[in-house]
Amino acid sequence: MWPHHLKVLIANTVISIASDDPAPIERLEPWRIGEADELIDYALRLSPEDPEESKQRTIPNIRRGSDNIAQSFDLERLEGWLWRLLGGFERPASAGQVRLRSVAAMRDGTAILVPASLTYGVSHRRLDRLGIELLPVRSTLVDVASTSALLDPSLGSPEDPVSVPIVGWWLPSYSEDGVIDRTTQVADAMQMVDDLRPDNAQHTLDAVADLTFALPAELVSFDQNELVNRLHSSL
Amino acid sequence: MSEANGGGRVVWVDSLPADDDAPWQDVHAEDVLRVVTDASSVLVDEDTVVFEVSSRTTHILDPLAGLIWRCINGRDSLEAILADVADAINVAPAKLISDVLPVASSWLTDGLVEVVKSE
Repeated sequence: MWPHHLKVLIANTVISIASDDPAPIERLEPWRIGEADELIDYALRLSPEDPEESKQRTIPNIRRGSDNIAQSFDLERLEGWLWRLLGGFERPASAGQVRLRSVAAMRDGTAILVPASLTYGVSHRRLDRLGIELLPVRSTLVDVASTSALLDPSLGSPEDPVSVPIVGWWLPSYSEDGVIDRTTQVADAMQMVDDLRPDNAQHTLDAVADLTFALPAELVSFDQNELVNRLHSSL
Repeated sequence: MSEANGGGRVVWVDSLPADDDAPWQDVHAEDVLRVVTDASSVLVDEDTVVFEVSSRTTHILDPLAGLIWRCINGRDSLEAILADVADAINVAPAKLISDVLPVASSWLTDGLVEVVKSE
């Protein structure tokens, strides 16, 4: 299905990446370890074909498995997101840090962490109009002591992560929004920790618990319109 | 096996772990157990990671222990749960009960579960 693809090794992670355009795949050659697996992890579609009967244009996008995690007509921006997403694999969380499967929504130098899965398909054009930048990455590294998001630079970049203060972090809610007790915050956040392993579980979950003390999490609904409105009023 | 790590503690629950300072408490097959509200768990590959928020203790359960952990519901007796699990993994229930009771007792001793009904 995908004309261009490869399998890369980034830190300790093997990732199959595909695209309909040869250029992004060629740029990933330094990380190549082989041919992509049948199941593609990330796919960058820069020139989507529209169904003939459809009058709606398909927006160029990044897919993770079957999820459309980001879409934009700005192809340079779209590829830039993919490279930042891949850059995240280079930086595992260390003591006092945790990687949450959340994305940073930012405005005026502060960030709110939103569950990544709630942002799939969100309109970046609408966010742009509101002055909100949302980085559609796999996960965000959080430094608990400074209550900051450490935004990953692009894959292979020599730059250090950019630190942005977090003013809120949200957890998906299956009921109405509200404040949840600390144990439930930790329980819910545990499900969102990226790269949790038995050998790093103690310091990672310590960091999650510390984060709930430093900045209690809030619940957010699955309604994307409501999500954007809440970001607009909270940032 | 256990090891100190930072402010918390990691306990691997694949044999007979328990808090050395706590008096041992036996679980019986007829007991109905409930996970304490302070303990949360997540599946990590084949293991189950249980984290106690107040004590900052992490418990790593092996696949079988994790399966039984996830079946504890505050309604069914351990015996009933183990009968289902034994059927699913094709082992004799009596053998599974004798293997699991000490592990469940360590959970009780460590305060991960409580007995809500004892028959």
